[in-house]
Order: sequence, then structure tokens, then C-alpha cells
Amino acid sequence: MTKRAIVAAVVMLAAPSSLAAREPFERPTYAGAYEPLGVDERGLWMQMDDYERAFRDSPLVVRDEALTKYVKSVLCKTVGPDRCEATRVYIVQDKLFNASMAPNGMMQVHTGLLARVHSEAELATVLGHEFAHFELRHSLNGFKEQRKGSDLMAWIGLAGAAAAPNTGLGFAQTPIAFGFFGFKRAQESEADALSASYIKASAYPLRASAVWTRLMEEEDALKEERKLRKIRRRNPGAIDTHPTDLQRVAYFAEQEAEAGAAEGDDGREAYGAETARVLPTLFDSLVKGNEFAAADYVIQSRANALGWDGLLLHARGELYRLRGNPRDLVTARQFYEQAIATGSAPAEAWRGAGLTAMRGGDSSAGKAALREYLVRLPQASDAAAMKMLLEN
Amino acid sequence: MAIHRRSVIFVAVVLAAWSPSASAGWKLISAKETAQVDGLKVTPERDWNQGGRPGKQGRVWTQDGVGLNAIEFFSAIPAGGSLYKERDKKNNPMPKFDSGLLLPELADFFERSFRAANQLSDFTIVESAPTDIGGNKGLLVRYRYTMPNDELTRLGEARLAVVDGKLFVANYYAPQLHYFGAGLPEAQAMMQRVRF
Repeated sequence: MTKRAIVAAVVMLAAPSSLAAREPFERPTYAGAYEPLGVDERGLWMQMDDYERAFRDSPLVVRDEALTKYVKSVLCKTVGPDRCEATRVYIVQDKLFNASMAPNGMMQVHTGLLARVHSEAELATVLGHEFAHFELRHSLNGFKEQRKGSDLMAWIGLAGAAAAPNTGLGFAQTPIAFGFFGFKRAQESEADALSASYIKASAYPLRASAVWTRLMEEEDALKEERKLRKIRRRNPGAIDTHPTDLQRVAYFAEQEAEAGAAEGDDGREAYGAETARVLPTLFDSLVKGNEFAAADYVIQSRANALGWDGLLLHARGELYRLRGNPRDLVTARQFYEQAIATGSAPAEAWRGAGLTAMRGGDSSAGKAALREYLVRLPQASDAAAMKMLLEN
Repeated sequence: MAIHRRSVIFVAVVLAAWSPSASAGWKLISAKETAQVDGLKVTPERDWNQGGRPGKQGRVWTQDGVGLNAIEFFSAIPAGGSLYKERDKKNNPMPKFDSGLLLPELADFFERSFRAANQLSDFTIVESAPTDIGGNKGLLVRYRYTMPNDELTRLGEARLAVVDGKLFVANYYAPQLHYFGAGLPEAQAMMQRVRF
């Protein structure tokens, strides 16, 4: 039995409801120089090839060859080098926890995802999930399912108008629409199951439940800050496209408890070292956004897992300074000073320390810090404005 | 006829929503005439279209549509006020202006406001430098950004000043491709000639 057949069998067992009902999964897309089959798949690939050609030059793509190579190497270790050669990985500047995979093999990984995972094994669960969508040709099947549903709805609408003009048959269309969302959820569960299978077959331990637990905690922190009701659902709603976070935690935790599933090097240290260099790229849009509690949760959870360094302390200082309550400025100044004390702070830490000191009425210390900022970063984008502040 | 009735209602709703706003939302600003935009006096070189309010104290002008070129004028935002309208207080709260901000920090406030209003993940300040607005000390901010799900690089140039504890802003932005450069000389001239 080949490795692929084993994986496919695991998926069949894990998600019998939808996979067994559809046509059997045939040609694996990773078998080198795969060409799309049939008019639907060819059309879908053609559209995605056009999209990728434009997207490749997008300013949203993070141009960091080393980081991109590193993320791809985690994918390759997860799904195997033969499969992963078919993919192109793009790191995208986006604060949301997300990644996606197009049917033609284009993978997008958001900076918000890289900020929120703490080891290669955690990253592997998400990359494996996206790759599973690709391998199982979920976009193609989803497109076909949607078309089938919309065809049927159109016929029902027409029949309703002709046969029962005053009653309509809208009620008959609703289950079809809900059925489509159920189909999407089943695809997501399938991708989760296949991702877990990839990881079990790799050198990584399965570390998926922690990722989803933290996402729930982050959401709770934000809702608490905004005085919104915290809702944790055990079952998805009729129009949800994904299983609920609680469901994901439950089924991943169950698999992690299996013998041998959680053993192996999770690549935490390597992940910490590889991403430390690019922390501003990963955290800037979170820090400068307006979800204070969520950003603070993400920063602190990274520190708990991987430790504080100058860049992370600076990021937390920025977060507090930008919220800007008088008490925040005091806290921010402490973070900047701690960042400077680590010896690994960016020049901007002196900027933050100087501004918060001046706002707090300590202008001599503030000006000294700003002078140091300009010595360390004479080409700073705000050098002229800082010089004017120092002269007054 | 359920479908026909639904279609008629839909068309009626669209027309009701569209016609008054289309006529009332825009106003012609004539070239070379000084226009009073809330607390600011602005003199354009060419005709502009004045649209709605991006913020409580703001007005937007455009020539080809706000997606292609726009200039916003905000007058006298008080401490605790936001630059852009707070459309969803619970889920997307806008940063609040603090009159104690130091001059370079106005760029941080502008960045956070612009990011929140447009839901941006990609925004970079290219330069922030001291400038003069209508005889007041202010800050010039040049920036670059990308809208979500959009591959166009967009550029902007804003001028901010705090006068008597209140914030005044003029902000020009457009796609880098043709529009920003084409409209920049007039936008700069207008911003430099602004009077309070």
C-alpha cells in the first residue's frame, strides 16, 4: 500500500459522510507536471493562473526570500518533498490568522498566522490543512457542488413561478443552500483529518489543539475588552463554512492523545529563531490595528512560548503607546526601556522611549533618547520632525 | 406572482435609495473660487466634486471618483474626537485624538486612523516632516498603502496641524499608477494655500 493510499484510507475513515458519497479521489496532483482534467478543472486553473500572475507582483506579498523558503521547508517536511514541489508559497501582509491554497498550487500564508503560531509543528497543522484542500481538489468539487445547487435552485424557482405563483417555493430552496454550507464544513473537516495524517507520517508531533485553543482565548480577550458577549458554540450554525473552534480542539485533542502522535521535535526553537528577525513584519499590522486586547494576547502568548526579546518588547511598547491613555504611556515607557536593556532592541525603541518620556514630563531623558534614536537611525522617515522637536 | 412582486419591490427599494442620495450627495466646487469647507478656506485650480463626510468634521473632494483621486479636509477635530466616522463602535472603534500628542506623533495618529477606516494591513509612512499650514506649524506625512484584496500600490500625502488644541487635516490620496502624480501638483498647491 502506498503512502498516499494510506492517507486516503485515513481520510475515508475520518470523514465518511461526504467523501464516500462523492466520486473516489483519483489522480494525485503532486505527481509532477500535473495538467488539469476536464473543462471545469481547466477553467478553474486558468483563472487561478491569471490571478497568480497578477498577485505575484502585489505589494502585499512580503519579499523576504529567507522567510518564504523557511515556511516552504516546513510545508515540505509536513507533506513530503515530492508533493510540496508543486506549490508556490507567498507570504502575505495581513493581520488575520489565515492561509489559503488555490487549486493550481498557489499557497498564501498570512503574516497574522506566523505571528500566532509558536513552533514548526503548529505551523504544520495549518499548512497541512491548506495542502489537503489542494490534494483533495476541494475548490473544484466545491465549484461543482455550488453549480449543482444553483442549477437546482433556478429550476425550483422557475417551477414555483409557473406552478404555484402565489405561494412560491422559496422554502424548498433553503435546504439546498444550507446543504452547500454543510458540504463546505465537511470539506474543512476532511482537510483537518488529512492534515493530521500528514503530520503523523512526518517527524513533527501533532500540535493542533493548542492553536485553536489560543484563537478562542484571543477572541474572548477581545470580546471582553469590547464588552461583547462571549459565545462558544459546540455545533456550527447553518451557514458556517468551518467547524467551530471547539469542535476542532476536540477532534485534534483526541488524535493528539493517541500513542506516538505527540512525540518528536516540534521545532519550537528553530521557529523562534527564524521568525525573530522578522517580528516587525509579522506584528506591525496587529500593533497598529485597533484590536488592542487581541494584539496584546498574541504578543504575550508568543513571549510565554518563546521568550521576550528586544523586538517583541518594543512591539508591546508601541501597542500601549498608540492606545495612549496616560497610564499606557507609563507602561509603554517601561517596555521600551526593557527592550533597550535586552541589547536587541530596534532603533525605534529609543523613539518610543523618548516620546513617552516627554509626554510624561521627563523632557531631558526624552530628548536624550530621541537624540540616540537619530544617531542609530539617521535616515529615519521622521528624522526632520524629530529634529524640530529637539530644537524646541 | 411571487417573483414578479419581489422584483418590483427590489427595483422600488433601489430607486428609493438611489435617487435622493445621487442628487444630494455631490456638489460642484468651481475652479479658482474660494470654497469654505467647514473651518477651512480652499481655492482649487480646477473643478472638483464635493462628496459626503468621511468624518464628523470632514469633507471629501474628488475629480474621477474617490477610488482614483480624493482630497479630504478635516476641521477642528476636538480632543476625544475621531478623524474618520465611527461606523461600528463595537467592532471597529476609531482612534481618538489627544491634544497632548507631540508633533511627530500626529503621524502615528493619522496612520492608525487611516488603517482602521480602510481596514488596512499594509501601510508605510515614507516620510514625515515639519511643514506650514495656513501659517500654523504642522506635519507633512507621505505614505504608501495597499487596500485588502487589491494589487494596486496607492500613495498619499497628508498635512496635519493642531491649532488651539484642535486638529486640522488635509489629506490627498490616489493610486500610484498615473493618478497620484497627475493630481499631486494641484493637491499640494491647494493644501499649501489653505487658510483657516
